[in-house]
Amino acid sequence: MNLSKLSQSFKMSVKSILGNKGRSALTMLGIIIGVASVIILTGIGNGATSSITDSLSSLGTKNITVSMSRGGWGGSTRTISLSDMQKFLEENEDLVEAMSPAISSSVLLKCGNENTTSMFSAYDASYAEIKDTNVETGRFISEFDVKNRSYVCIVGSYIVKEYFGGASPLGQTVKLNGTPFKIIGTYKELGDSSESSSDNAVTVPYTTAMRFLKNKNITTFYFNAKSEDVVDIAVSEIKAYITKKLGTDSGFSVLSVAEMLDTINEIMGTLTAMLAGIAAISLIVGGIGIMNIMTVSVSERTREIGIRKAIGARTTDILLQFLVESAILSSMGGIVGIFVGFILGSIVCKLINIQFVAQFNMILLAFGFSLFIGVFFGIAPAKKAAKLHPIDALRSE
Amino acid sequence: MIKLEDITKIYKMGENEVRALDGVSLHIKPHEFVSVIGPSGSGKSTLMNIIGCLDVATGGKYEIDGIDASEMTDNQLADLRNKKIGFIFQQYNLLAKLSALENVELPLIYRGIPAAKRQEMAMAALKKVGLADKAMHKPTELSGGQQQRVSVARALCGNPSLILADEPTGALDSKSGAEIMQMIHDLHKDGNTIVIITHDLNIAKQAERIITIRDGKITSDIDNSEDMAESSNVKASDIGDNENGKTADFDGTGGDGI
Ligand SMILES: Nc1ncnc2c1ncn2[C@@H]1O[C@H](COP(=O)(O)OP(=O)(O)O)[C@@H](O)[C@H]1O
Ligand SMILES: [Mg+2]
Repeated sequence: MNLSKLSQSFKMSVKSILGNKGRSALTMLGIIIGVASVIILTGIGNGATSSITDSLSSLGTKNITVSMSRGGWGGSTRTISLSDMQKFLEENEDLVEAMSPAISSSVLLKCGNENTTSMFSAYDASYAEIKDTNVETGRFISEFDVKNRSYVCIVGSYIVKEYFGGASPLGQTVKLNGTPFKIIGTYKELGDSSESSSDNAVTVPYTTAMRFLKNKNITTFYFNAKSEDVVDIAVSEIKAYITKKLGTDSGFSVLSVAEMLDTINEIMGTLTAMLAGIAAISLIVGGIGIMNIMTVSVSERTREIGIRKAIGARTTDILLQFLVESAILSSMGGIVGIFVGFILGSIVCKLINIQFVAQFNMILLAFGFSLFIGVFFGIAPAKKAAKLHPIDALRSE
Repeated sequence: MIKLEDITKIYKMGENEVRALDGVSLHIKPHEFVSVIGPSGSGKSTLMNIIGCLDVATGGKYEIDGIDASEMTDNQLADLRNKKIGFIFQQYNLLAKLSALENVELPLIYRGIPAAKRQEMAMAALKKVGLADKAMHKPTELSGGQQQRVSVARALCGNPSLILADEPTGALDSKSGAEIMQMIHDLHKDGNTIVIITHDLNIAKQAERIITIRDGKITSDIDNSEDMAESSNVKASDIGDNENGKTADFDGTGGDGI
């Protein structure tokens, strides 16, 4: 079997495919749908994964969150104290590098005669070392503010837009639950600057908040691990420390973004693989479609096969012709499927507002698989055609 | 060149057996022009299929160019058909999707001849049958006579030594039929061995040797070469089994092709 014979079979197959456009299109349809769904589903799966992991990573991959759950079922009312956490920080400089207590609540914000209920948060100045503060103008809380329990605040873009008409509010005053606070900074727009978005927010020093909210217990602490490599060790050290202090390992949680990322990646990976598996089934169905149509094609073209054999086609010539034909059909179906998958996948992803992530090796895999399916399912009908006895084939109508 | 010894071909149809060929022995020498005549169903096509290695005999021995056909592999048989035999069928057997030129090229493709050479050879063959101007036409765009000329071109383009024609004029009007016969005569003059199958006495008489077949048996085998020289005055009564004094008239039975 030489190259010129292969190129001959190729030409003959192309001729036969083009000579039967309707049937060829139908044959390819199954493969097109199969490949397109593999591309779409994996593209969406990967897109969703990266959108989730992106937003998680933006929380900081070195970040560790300690939450005390108050009360609950027989839950202890004891919580870890701020000084204990500060002590942990000092004793574990090789693991953690920054710590900030966090208080979150809601507050009645009044500016002039108008008021709104805003999200209220309070941090230490060190919060800026742990997370992106998202301060746009002015500054974040300083150590001085914390020490002096200053009545200063940073406000979100909703407040800037709604109460200051977009003009700089720095140096102006707002009242939180009736107490005046001086605005020292503004946040970047995070949502759509509406009242219900995360842009309706205000942040003050935690020391001020403790006094002002009459809150003695802090229930959330943020740590920053020294490096991404020690996040896991830091998490378990913090757990052990708190367990020792409280005498119980329940009533609190220590979570790292890295850990959540791992879990989510794992889940999404499984999900994507499952989607691809389902899509692959449709590829196999497409392959069976090819087998059907090739079988029909063989019986329709029995006389043609007879003529070819009569004038000297060898068994391998016929085999090759039909195999090449189904391989061309399925790989053309594969290419069309990739395009269809790209177009539909991008549209769907646009609609659900995630990025369409097409992996090159996924495309290669889909194409290779469809080619394989075509050859695999083409073998039986091609063999059937090749084995026909010349006179039997010639006699058929 | 061709040697059949006690060839039988039996078709089993459930309980029934059809002896399409029943002990046929026949030698055909190179460059002979042989016609096989017989009524419909007498086994002519079966004989041609066995000679052409399209079919295998149930019993007996068939040698072509000294090689036992039963000992050849499928590939060897395919190559033999490709190189040594040119077929002309009653129903032309052209591929409808291919142009005249591509149809003629087909045996050369399977022979592995490069495209340029192949097209040149196919074109020359089409020229020989007077269809050079119709090279790009599909069979459906050609008349019956033209289609048969394409199939003659296909048979001759590979320079086979043996031309097998199964009722080549059976589906044609008399004028086209005469043209095809002329081409077959030309092929003979070029040195080909010709076996032509017919149920038409007028065509059979054009051969050097006339073999009559009836119910799968050869009933007569006459040398017609001298008669041909005397402008062919073989009488129908000379041919076939005339035991009951009837003249052999195979006309009007209609060809059944293959
Ligand atoms: N494939 C077949 N199966 C069964 N019987 C067949 C087959 N081919 C031919 N025959 C029978 O064999 C006999 C000879 O057929 P054939 O060689 O085609 O005759 P001819 O060509 O002389 O008209 C006929 O009786 C025919 O019915
Ligand atoms: Mg016949």
